[in-house]
Amino acid sequence: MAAVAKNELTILNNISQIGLVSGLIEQVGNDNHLRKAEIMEMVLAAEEMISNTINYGYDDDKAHEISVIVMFKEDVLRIEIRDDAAAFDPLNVPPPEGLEMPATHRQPGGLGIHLARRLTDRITYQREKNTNLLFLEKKMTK
Amino acid sequence: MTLTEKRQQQIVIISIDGRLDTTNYQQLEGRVMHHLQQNHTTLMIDCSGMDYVSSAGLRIFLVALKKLTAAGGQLALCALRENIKEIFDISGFTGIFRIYATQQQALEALGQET
Repeated sequence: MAAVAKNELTILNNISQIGLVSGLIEQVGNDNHLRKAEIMEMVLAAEEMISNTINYGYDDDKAHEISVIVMFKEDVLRIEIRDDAAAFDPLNVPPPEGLEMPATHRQPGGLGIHLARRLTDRITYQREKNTNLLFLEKKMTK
Repeated sequence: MTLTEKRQQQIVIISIDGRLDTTNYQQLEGRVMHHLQQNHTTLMIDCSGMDYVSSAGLRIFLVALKKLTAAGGQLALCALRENIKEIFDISGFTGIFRIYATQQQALEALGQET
C-alpha cells in the first residue's frame, strides 16, 4: 500500500503506482504556485527514472519500496528518490546517438534518461549500502 | 488517456486525449498494430488533447513511423501543444515526423500523396 505524508510517499515497484508520484510532485508544485509547465517537466523526469527502476532494476518477483521526497526551497524543486534496486547510476549512461538521424536509422527507446537530464538542472546519484539515492533538481521561475 | 478514432476516406485518425505514459502506451501500440494488420497504412495522430508524453509514448510514435513507412504507408501528426513540441525537440523527433498545425492541414498533406 502507498503511504502518504505531506511531501513524501512510498510506492511499490509496480508501474501502476507511478501516478501517485506524479500527484505528489504536482501537489507540492501547486502548493508553491509554480508554473505548470515546469512542474510537468519534473514529473516527467521523475517518471522516467522511476519507471526505469521498476522495469529494469529488480531481478526477483518480490515487492520493493521506492520512497520519494519532494521539496521546494530557494526556488529549487528537488526530488529525492530512494530504492533498493540494483546499483544503477544514470549519469554513466551515454547520451543517445543519432538524434539527428532519419527515422530509418533511429532505434526506438533509450530516451528516458536523456529527457530527464535535459529537463532538470542537476541530477545527483549516490549508492549507500544497498540503496540507490537519486536527486533531481530544477530551478523554477516563479 | 482516451483514444478516439475516425476514418476519413482511407486515412485513419487517432486522437489522443490526456497523458500518454508508461502505464498506458500499450493502448496506442495496440491500435497502431491493429491498423497495420488491417492494411490501414495511412495514419494521422491528432495530439491536440495530449498534455503529457513520456519516453514510453515517444517510443510508440517512432515504432509506428518505422512500421508504417516500411509498409509503404504514411504517418502524420498534428496539433502538438507547446510542451509536447519541446519534448519532441529534445528527442530529435521534430525533424523525422511530419507535423502539421491542424488536422485539416495534415489531411490535405496525406490526401495529396495517397
